[in-house]
Amino acid sequence: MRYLLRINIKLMYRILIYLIIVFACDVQAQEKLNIFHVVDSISKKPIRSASVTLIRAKLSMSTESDGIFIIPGNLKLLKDSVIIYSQGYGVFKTLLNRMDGMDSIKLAKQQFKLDAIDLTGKQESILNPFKVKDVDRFTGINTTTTPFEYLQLAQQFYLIKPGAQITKVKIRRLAFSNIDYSNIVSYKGIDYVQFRIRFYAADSLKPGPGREICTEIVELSDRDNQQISVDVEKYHIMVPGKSFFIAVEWIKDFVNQGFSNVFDRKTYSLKQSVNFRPAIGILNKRGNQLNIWSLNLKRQWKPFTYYAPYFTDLAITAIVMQE
Amino acid sequence: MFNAFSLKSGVFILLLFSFKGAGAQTIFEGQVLDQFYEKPVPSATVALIKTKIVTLTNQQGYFNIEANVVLPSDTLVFSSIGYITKRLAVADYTANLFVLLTPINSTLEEVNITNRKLKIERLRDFTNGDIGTGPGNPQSKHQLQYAYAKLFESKRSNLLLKQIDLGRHIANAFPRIPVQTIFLLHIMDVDSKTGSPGKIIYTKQIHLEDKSYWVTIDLSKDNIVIPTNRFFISLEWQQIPMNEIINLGFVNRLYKVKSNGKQRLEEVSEYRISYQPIFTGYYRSKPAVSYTKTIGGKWQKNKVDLKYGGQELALSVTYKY
Repeated sequence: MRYLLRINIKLMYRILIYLIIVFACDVQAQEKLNIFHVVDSISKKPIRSASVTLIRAKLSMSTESDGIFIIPGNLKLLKDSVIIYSQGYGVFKTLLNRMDGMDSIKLAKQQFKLDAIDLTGKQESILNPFKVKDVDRFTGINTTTTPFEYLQLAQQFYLIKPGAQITKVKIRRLAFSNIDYSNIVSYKGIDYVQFRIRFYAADSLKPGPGREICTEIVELSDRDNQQISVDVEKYHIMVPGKSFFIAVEWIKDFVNQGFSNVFDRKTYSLKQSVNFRPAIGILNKRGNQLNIWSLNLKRQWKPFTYYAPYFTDLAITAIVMQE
Repeated sequence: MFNAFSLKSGVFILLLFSFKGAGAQTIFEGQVLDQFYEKPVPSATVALIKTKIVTLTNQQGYFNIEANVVLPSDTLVFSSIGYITKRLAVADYTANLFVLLTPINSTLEEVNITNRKLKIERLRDFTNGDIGTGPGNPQSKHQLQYAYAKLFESKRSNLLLKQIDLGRHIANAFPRIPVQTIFLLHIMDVDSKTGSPGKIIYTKQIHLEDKSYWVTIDLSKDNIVIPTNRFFISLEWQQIPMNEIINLGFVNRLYKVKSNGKQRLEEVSEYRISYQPIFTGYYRSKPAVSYTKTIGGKWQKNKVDLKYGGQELALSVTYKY
């Protein structure tokens, strides 16, 4: 029974997403719900937190633990592109009208194994260090000026010489740790967060993140801490060149869902929109160059110019070991 | 009118003293102000003696010292050429404390001023005590096209603007109020028909980069001449990312459906954005005439209670004539 009730909540959330999609796609009252299962192509197991993006509608959501997502309406009539992706799998991209009649989306694994290396005798370097007082802005929130329409934000790091192993990551995020939870039904809706961190080598052909250097899922969850640290030594993440990226990937699901309430310049009224935690810290400094990159809904990496030219770095610190 | 000149000469040190939990670090930050001119003292030396940390104040007289370990018996020493060195025990400080220092030769300063060809006056002066009063931003639901304008009336005309002083309010909020902020400063004439702010004579973008509560904007190099004796100074807020302040609100969503069919709700976060800066406001029995610009770009006169007076922003102007 409890399981069924939980399902109901998830269903409610999905219905909320449908309604947004319905509104965004400008379709009329729906007669059909198209249910899709995102599964592993070999094991057929559902893939949780796979990112599902409708490009034209500028909508992004994540699959729940059962790998299901739903799109309402007659798919043949909807003109949009869909991108489905999960870490460690190949990207699935198609037109929405071609998904009519489909039941499951099978993603093929694209993983590689990294060998452990001996860290004895290697020296530790702290990249992009920051203090608490260096962070008083946070990004990942729909604001009056701009909706936050990104899948990931990445910080670029630079090494003195090529080759290093990433051992630790520290991230500062928005959490209102002064909340008295005693009268709140569930603490999960306020500051609780689940997100993933991703690691990329620098693209050899163009600026920005290139291939992933860790295909294992590094997922973090936290109740109300402003600073989150994670030891990633066990993943053997090797940086091949002199630069790399660490990204925060938003899981756009029920757990992380909150709202933002901003002034809508078109209607001259306050407008509530769905907002997913976390909000990531921005350093109060102006570096020599912009080191923040964003992955947009089309899965293109672009410089994140929201705070340019004043602030150039995310509150993400990497600790690496080098010879 | 320019009551600063009637005050004893000296230097105010606005010590925005705070101990923060940045690891084991203690942060001393504050602002050194010259009371005689009521302007910041740049390049003053600030030293934490036993810890052996020395820094200089910036152009706003602001300093920041960070120490990993601070002895309770340690002393902060403030010194600048022309002023008597001030020693203050760390243990004596309280938040938002003003400390008065005496200049070495105050009479010399006065002679210099009276010998000038152009005389100096200040309008709508405020004191260091006013700065600690509280926030004074005009109420605006959406902060769109949001601006405040204060009327200045002089007995003279052809005024050469020298500086503008502002009080800034930085509350101990959570998350921290962002220190850096940008806003627009306008000098405006008076609309002859309505008496409200008229044409913009001059605009300057102001970028504040530290936690100075007393903000001095130097206009001496801008050559702004006001031909009449009445004019407005306007502060315009900018809805830009740098100025965002994130506030937390709560809304309900469905959390659980009980077996009896009753719904249980849970509170979830709702982020609400407001914009910096926050200026100091204080009450006067006869406050300055002021206006607020809101949606649609219309200027609306701020109300004054006949019995209790009204609020005005800590905003003064100094000019030569």
